[in-house]
Amino acid sequence: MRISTNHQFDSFSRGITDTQRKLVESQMRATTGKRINRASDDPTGAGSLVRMGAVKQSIGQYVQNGKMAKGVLAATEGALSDVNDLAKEAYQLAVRGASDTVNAASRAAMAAEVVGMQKRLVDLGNTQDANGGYLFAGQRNDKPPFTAQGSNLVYNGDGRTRFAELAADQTVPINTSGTPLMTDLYTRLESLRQALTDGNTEKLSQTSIPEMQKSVDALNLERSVIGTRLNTVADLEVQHLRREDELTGRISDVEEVDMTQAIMDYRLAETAYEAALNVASQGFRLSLMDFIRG
Amino acid sequence: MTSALRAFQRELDVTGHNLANVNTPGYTRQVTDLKSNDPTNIHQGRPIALGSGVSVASVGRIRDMFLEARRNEVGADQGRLSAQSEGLSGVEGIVADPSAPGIDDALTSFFDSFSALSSNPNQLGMRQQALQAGQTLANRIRDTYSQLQSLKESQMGQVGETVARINELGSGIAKLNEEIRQSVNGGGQPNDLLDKRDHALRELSTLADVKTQNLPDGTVSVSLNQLSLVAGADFRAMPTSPVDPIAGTIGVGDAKVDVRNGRLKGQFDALGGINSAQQRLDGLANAIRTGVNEIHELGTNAAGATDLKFFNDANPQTGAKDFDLDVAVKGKPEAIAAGTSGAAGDGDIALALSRLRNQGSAGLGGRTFGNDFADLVTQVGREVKAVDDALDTQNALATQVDTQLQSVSGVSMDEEMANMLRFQRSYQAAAKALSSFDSMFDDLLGMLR
Repeated sequence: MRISTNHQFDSFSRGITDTQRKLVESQMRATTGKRINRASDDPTGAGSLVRMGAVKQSIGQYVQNGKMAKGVLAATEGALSDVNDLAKEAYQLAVRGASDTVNAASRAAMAAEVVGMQKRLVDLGNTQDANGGYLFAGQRNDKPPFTAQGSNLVYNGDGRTRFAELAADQTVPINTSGTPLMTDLYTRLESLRQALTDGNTEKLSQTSIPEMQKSVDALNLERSVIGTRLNTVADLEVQHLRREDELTGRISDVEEVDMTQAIMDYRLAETAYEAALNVASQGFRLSLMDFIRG
Repeated sequence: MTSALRAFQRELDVTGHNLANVNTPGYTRQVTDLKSNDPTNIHQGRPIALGSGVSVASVGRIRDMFLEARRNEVGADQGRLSAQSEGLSGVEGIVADPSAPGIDDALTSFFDSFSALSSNPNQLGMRQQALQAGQTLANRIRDTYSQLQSLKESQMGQVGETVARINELGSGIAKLNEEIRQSVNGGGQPNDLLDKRDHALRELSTLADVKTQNLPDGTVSVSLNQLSLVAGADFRAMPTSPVDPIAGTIGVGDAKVDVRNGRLKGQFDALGGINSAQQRLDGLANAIRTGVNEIHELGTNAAGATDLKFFNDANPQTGAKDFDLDVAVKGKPEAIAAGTSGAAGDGDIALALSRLRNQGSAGLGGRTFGNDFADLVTQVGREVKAVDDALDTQNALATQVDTQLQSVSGVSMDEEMANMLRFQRSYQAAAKALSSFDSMFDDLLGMLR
């Protein structure tokens, strides 16, 4: 085939521009560490990255929600534990008061203690969480749910459940309603106080003692429910963290270059570029003009 | 003898011309076509034909018309694909850049902020976050759309430039046609003018799918589908508007011209790609509006207001161009309706909004918002890749044809230098012969004195 001068130049310059382009591309991959720098580098991969990224980000939110839920449940558990202690104390009072070895003066003192317990119960019922929300108010948690009115504990909450979203299709209740748990206890405490004041030992042993027991049992039950919820939250957190790790791995598989390979490719591209430059500079050393005399 | 000197000098001239034009784009190498002159008949008893030297019959261009035509075809495809690739890369950079925070990030953050809000809807901080996330999502969709709009405008500008260039070339070819025709009429062979015209035709064929026809009077007629661009010395300009990139036409009514290949078609295709991305964004924005508002309208906020929109909506829906928060909630975190009842701790609407991320949207063919966007990214990437791959093939093909063309028509400096030596020697020989003849004549004259 006949070779024209332009053809020689063109093929040298094409050699240089092609190897230079490949050099820049492999440089980009080695520097960013990514094999997908534009969607067209791997269109399906680019789409997967979008999807997986969204799932991973949402898992982060679920984990955060779980931490918030843990806080609220733990605060609730703490308050209920205190109420439980209070109920147990009241139970003890009922037992002592029912006994014949105690006199009226002692019973009067016990009655005064019960008044103190009632006050504490109201305070505990109005416990707030770290964000200032009232734990036992249901969904009306911007105002204290309990007020004492005479011998009654009035509940102003709505007793409805609050949830935390802990997975794509899973919510966990994070609150406990203050009623009937605490309103019942308050009423029972009132009845205990009355019985103590009246010195009604029969009522104390037939009614107050079993009633206090019922409150203690109800509180224990609720506490175990909360314990179960805390376990669920912890389990979900473990699952999420595992899933997050797995996704991170899959994302990196799609997105990232094998660094060793990338560096090798870069070296090869660099060598090819040097060779193209070298050949081009050597290419025009010889021509007929060097040999024509005169 | 003198005819030889003249002929060889012509040959040296042509060689010099070739050397001078070794770098001229579109230059076809020229060769002299020598023929021996008609013999004179002398009678010496019987007719003897005595040769009468040599003359230049013609100076012609060495070209292969088939290769030229093939090169122009490939050039049209190359032009189309490279213009399309340039335009679509712009779309890819705007919509599908993996390194920049995109619409997908804003979408997920939007859902996540409502997930957090659902447990503590009365917390101002949470509400502000949710509002901000909604604002960011709206801003990002709007910005993406407007960047595509700018890209569209710059593409239209390029279309204008291409049409102007087509018209410029067409008018130039018409002028060349006239000059060439006059020269051919006078029996000449205007090689350099022919080269110029071929070069212009070559460039023109990369811009649009023109068809050329060589006419016996030396002119070339050029047509672009319905438009007769050049006929002899007459030039009819291409219309510059209106441009219909989807139908692939320019102009209206009788003046409408189809464009099916070349850079102009590529630019139309790129415009089509930009339009299609904008339409996808419109669809996404409207689906988000509908999906979010349907849920939010069921909620009641702390002030007791209900039936509130979260994103601005109208009938008919307006798309991505002005996608924004509704005035009811814009800048007012307390106005968000996080729950149905409006109670401080009721977050069921916020929960439903968070769960919207996994629900198929009727307006998006049953896809979730996130998946629809992921599909858009893949689709744009695929289009760019397909065009780039096809362009690589055409470039390789063009290189092949160019190599063959150069082999036929390109100037080889070494070859011309070798020819130069040859012609030089021939000239020297003829000059020597003439001087021998001259000295023989001298001798003869000397004898006569």
